Amino acid sequence: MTYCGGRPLNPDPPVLNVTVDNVYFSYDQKLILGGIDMRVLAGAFVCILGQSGCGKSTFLRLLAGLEQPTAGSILVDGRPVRKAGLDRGMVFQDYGLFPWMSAGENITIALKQKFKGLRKAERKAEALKKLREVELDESCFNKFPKELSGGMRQRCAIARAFAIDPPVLLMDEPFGALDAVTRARLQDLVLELWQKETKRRKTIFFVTHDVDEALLLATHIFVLGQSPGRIIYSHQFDGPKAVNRESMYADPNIVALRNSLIRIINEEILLKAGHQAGAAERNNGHGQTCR
Amino acid sequence: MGKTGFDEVKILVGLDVSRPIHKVKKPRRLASKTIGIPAIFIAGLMSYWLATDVFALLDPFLYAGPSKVLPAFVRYFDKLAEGLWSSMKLLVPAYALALGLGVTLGVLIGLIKPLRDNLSPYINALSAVPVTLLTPFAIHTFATFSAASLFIIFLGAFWPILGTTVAGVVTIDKRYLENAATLEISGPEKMFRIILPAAAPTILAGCSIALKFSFILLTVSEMFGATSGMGFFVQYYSDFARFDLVLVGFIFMALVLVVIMYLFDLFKNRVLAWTLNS
Ligand SMILES: Nc1ncnc2c1ncn2[C@@H]1O[C@H](COP(=O)(O)OP(=O)(O)O)[C@@H](O)[C@H]1O
Ligand SMILES: [Mg+2]
Repeated sequence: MTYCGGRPLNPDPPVLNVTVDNVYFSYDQKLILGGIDMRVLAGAFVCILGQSGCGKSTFLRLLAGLEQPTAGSILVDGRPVRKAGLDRGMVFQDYGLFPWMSAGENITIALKQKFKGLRKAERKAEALKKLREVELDESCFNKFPKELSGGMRQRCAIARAFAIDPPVLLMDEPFGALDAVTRARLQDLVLELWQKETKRRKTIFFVTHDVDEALLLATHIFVLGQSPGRIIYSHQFDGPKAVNRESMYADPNIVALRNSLIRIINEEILLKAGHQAGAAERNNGHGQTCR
Repeated sequence: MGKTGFDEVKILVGLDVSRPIHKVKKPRRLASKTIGIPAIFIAGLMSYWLATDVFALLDPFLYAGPSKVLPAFVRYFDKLAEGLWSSMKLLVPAYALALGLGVTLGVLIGLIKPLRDNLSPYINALSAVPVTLLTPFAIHTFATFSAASLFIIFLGAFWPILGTTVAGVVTIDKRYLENAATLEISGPEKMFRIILPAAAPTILAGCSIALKFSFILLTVSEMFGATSGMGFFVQYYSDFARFDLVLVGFIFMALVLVVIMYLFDLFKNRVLAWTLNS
């Protein structure tokens, strides 16, 4: 829970269910998403896996309200998503922070939007607290994003996302550009921040193309297939999962799941390659009949 | 686009603008990096001195040597300073007006696509008209000479600021705007903390071009109506064929421009400290 000076900023925020009902989406004439269904209960950590270009970012943009589905509906807490809003926080792979604001200002401007009553000093105190929570010290407050490393920038983006305390958090390959060590530390950090709120955990949608990342973080895993993007596999962890990086692969179930996820994703790639080869052949055939 | 103008000034002024502001300045490196400024100045002055005063290679009627120019500079300094003051009374309001209108209209046109689609041909057509050609129209349209002068300088500064502001706003990365939308940033907050800062690199490049244009047009506009001013000074003594004093006027104007551009760059570097290449 977010506290400022001992008093809760957001005392009783809702935890929201998300329902995705037969969603289609096209850019121009090209079908990108073809019939996605998802029922996600509040507090789930959903990882969306899939090859690059399969429509993961597009799906997240629809959840964020930055695009509207061509058909179907997306309901958050029973209400259709019409536009972007503070109830759905977003962490991008890059471009998350405004480069012309210091790390601190990036957080305070978000706090100002969410908690209208806060005074300037309170916003600053809260932002500093949030920076500490992601292990950034006070000196980062006045630094521009360009003066921070990639890992520090993502920490700051995470700090901002948790500062506005949204019931739903959308993360689009947030660690995609980071080195393995930084990535592991940030995965632990996100898990920790998410688990800390035992009663009202955020509903997180986390896009990744890393199977191990999904296994570590998720309570639900969805695999998106390509052209058009649709769910080709889903898995839900029942009961407590060994979310420890070291012990995770001691669990034979997890190892089996890992193998099948990798197989499914690879099959999908092969399928797509075959599909393209087939299309090329058909084109050739077509060319011949024309002659 | 203003990048060339910017570099030009960098060389002229010798300010190491590529250095981040917060870094500790190492005086020795700074001095050695800008050693070219005094060196070029001295070399230029010496060559000119040799070509005029010493060997009289150049026509002394047109090219007065330092032995004549330097004392004249001192003697006429009061008059030049007075000219600076009255020039500034034209330049500052005209530039301020161009800045205010150019940025305001530029942001509107940049943000509102229908407006942009319908106005673009007119903006292109009007900004291509050489402002100097408008002088007679301005003189006959405006009640006073100073209003006409103001208008001419204003117009010269207005078009580059308008054009770069539109371009700057149009090319803002969509992802920043989406980011602002997810944070529900709107209204004045969006204008002053998202749109203007995001477009600032381009807008400021336009402002720098506009500043130089307004200096050129200052001279043009002081050719009519003015009774003092830096441009007037040059024009006046040129009419009397006092080319030593014309040279004095030029040098004075150049100095003023160098100082103003130096201050402008200080300001610009502060505002753009966040950019990757600053
Ligand atoms: N603005 C756009 N206009 C047209 N096509 C787009 C646009 N953005 C993405 N696409 C297409 O949509 C598909 C899915 O893209 P994206 O959602 O970014 O994939 P992912 O995030 O899974 O890598 C890609 O084939 C991409 O070419
Ligand atoms: Mg993507």
